[in-house]
Amino acid sequence: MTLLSIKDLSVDLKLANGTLHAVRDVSFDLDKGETIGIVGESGSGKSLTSMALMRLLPNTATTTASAIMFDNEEIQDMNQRRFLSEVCGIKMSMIFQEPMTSLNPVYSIGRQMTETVLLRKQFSRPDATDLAVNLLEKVGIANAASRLSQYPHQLSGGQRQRVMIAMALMTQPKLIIADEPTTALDVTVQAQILQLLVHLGKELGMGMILITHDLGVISRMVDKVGVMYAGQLVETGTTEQVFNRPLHPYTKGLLQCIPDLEQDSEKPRLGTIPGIVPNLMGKQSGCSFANRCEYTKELCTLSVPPEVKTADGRTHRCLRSDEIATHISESKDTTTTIHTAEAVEQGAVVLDVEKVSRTFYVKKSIFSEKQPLVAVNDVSLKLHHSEVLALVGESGCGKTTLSKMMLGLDLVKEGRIEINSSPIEDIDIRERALLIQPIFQDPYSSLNPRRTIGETIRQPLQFHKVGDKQSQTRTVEKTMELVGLPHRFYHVYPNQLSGGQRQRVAIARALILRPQIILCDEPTSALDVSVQAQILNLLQDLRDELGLTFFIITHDLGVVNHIATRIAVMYLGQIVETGTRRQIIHESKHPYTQALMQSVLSLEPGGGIPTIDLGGGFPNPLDLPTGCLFHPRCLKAIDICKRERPELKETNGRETRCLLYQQQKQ
Amino acid sequence: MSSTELPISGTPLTLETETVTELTPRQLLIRRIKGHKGLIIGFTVIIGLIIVGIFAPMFAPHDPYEQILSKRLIPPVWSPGGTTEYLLGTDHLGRDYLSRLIYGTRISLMIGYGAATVGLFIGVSMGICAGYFGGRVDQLISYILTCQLSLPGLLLTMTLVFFIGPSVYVVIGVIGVLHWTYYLVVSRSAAMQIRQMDYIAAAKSIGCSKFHIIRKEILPNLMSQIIVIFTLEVGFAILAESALSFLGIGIQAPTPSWGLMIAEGKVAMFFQPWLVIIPGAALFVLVLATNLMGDGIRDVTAPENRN
Repeated sequence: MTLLSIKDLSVDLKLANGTLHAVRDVSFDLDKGETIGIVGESGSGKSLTSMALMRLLPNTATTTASAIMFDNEEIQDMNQRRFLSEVCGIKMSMIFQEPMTSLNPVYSIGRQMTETVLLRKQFSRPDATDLAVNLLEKVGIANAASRLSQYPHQLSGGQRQRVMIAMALMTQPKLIIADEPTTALDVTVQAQILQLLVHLGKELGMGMILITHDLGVISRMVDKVGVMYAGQLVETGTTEQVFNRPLHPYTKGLLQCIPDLEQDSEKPRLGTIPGIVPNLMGKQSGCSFANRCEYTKELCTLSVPPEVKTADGRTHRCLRSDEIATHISESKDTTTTIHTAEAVEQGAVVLDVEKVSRTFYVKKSIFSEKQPLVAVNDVSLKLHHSEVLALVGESGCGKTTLSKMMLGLDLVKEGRIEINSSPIEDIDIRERALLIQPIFQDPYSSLNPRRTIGETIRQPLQFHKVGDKQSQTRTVEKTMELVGLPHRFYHVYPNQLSGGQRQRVAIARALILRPQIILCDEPTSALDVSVQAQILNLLQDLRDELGLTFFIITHDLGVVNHIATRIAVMYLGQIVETGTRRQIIHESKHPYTQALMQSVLSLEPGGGIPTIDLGGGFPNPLDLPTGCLFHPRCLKAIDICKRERPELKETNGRETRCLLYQQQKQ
Repeated sequence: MSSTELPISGTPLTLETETVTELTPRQLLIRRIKGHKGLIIGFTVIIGLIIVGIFAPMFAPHDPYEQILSKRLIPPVWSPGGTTEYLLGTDHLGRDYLSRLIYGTRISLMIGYGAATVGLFIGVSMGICAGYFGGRVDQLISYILTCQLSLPGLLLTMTLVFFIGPSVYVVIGVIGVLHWTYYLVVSRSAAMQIRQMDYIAAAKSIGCSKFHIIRKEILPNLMSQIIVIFTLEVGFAILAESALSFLGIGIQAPTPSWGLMIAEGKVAMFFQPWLVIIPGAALFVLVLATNLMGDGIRDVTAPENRN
């Protein structure tokens, strides 16, 4: 039975310089108990579509549609008062992306949860409280009754998102819209939340619209998929159809961009989609994907492709799909491959981290004593010439603190960090800049908004007084070419560039002094998949061409598998396992690494969300457990783990910090 | 600013092949300035006032100090009883009001801009230090700020001027030294935010010194806020001067200044309101033009307005 049926939904935004057609003629149906996933890159209009349904768009936006049928009623012409009292938040609920900001910090959880139903007099106060407790238990929050009087800051990010889900369920909605519900969460938490959502959706028979940029998530948990590009649904179909036999070239391009965990030894370059998303101003004259599509013919630029329904119930917007469909499906695995040998022989050690610890002291209140917080705990790592070492771990495990010390931004108080066998404190800061350079996670905060791109990239040269002005300009232009930035960006300011272009600028700035080591802190996590693929390819090329050594910090194991030669896994400030890429990805020994591997949601249509062998939440770093730091979450923990703290033991070039494994060996 | 739209953000559908005419940043800046009406108006008025101030003897029809008691309180030319000899009439001592207004431009501009600049240097340097270094430095500077805020400003000004002795420069200095709290508060919080940006960490890993980072990375990002506060402070400083003059410890009569003219005019305000209205209007024009110019400079230099 159809729950929601949208026909030709369009959203126009009036801007100072014209009208932006952000959503164009989007149509789809959703049955009761069914989940549709909408994927697309940022700016493709996927969030606007859902906000148009909830009437949450800004005043400058106009929504038009031939029909929006929800629960057997046309909701488009419904007056605002009735819409608010019957539909919005009642029959239709929304879960937002950012759990840290979507709860009001000054009201208790219980008050926020019961507010809606009490306001609408659906329940009496005791009933509403009972329901809230019930739902909190259902979403997996322990001691639900006592949580009601707590405030948002007392809960972790994962718990808040669970509360948001429970809150959305209070009114027993028929449709849930989840807009990137897990993007802000750690991978290990992401899987749990998604599993919960799928489970609840099926159990309560709700329809669900899941909006995300993460194709892995979509492929595993939804029934239907809609792929959005430049405001249009370019392809819809069942998950199996879309992921295994894509009809639209854009879908194919997206699928090829994803770094995969399955592939081994040979490292194919990731597929990329050249070019950038078109401007959505003005009237569309041809296929919006035409300028980036490898199959474009003149025909594509002449008329707007209509939505075509195929025999097996899918839709697509591609004029040449008859001719190219078979080609697209077949050519899925024939990306060009570059053979990079696994680093068998290791070069000289360029960066040596030896027994480094970092402790911060925090005060809970003015009167309490200072408590030690061990952010980095006795870490030793060796970075060899021209290798790519990846450091993996959940947020809060001390990755960034360690990287700051390696860059010399934070003092090394315990232990030693040496670059080319001289301690980092003894190296002059100007010389240090020639040895190690960073690339940061957020391309929006890593460029000074008051400097042009040219000035930003030139700054290191200027500061180090390398060459005269003309030779500097030449070097800047060469470096821009190297990272794929066109010349005309020289006088442009960062706010005129996209995220991927900004990240290229950051890479160019890091490269221009030709340092030995590049330290990347989550270099792609803020970027779209197609851009991520471009940046990863670029980093790989640069390593091959310039013989750079990379130290990469990330939580994305797909990225790690694609680019790393060696991997170190970090948990609560300690290194728990190191080894070559193959050893860690395919033969991990430590239970934590195994859990991390399980939490990777690779493309697998209908694969479902796996259960992760990980108990409990991330522990409080102020209150470290006894024995093995991981034992409270470890499902394989044995008695001894609670008493003894394991050492990092080396075997066959890999290191593991686990009593279990060390005992088996004995 | 549709007329000054940049070519690079044009139609990305054909972006990769499109040939664009390269404009240097200077050309683009000139274009943006030309497209900004407020900036041009404000700038013209300020330049005009400066010229009037510098060449006051050439513009003024009479000696601003000459008192002709028989011609006291002549109304301006447009009201009954006015004469073309005294276009804006005369004050209670029979001095030509237009000449006094013209000469007063000097003092008012000097005090307004001078005091606001003195305050800018004090407030911004302390604010950036507090925001960037944090910790003890921040505590100390915040303490100084609290002290400053809890002192009765006017009383302090009076005491200072009284002890040092009244002169234009002393008034500028004293008003500036006491008007920096806005600068401090705003630049402190902005510097705190900017400190955490990745581009600061990037600059540090290039090897830049603290001073270099403050000057080259943080200060340019504070310009928008500083300009806005500067335009406000210009107005405040001129008003502070008129308050001092009213109390008799600011600019000493008979030196013509707009503040003093307002103060002197207050006595006869109900019978000859133009005595207050005319210098008031001049003050209004000056502050308005300063605001227009400040907003304009901010608009044409801020990178976020360049799309």
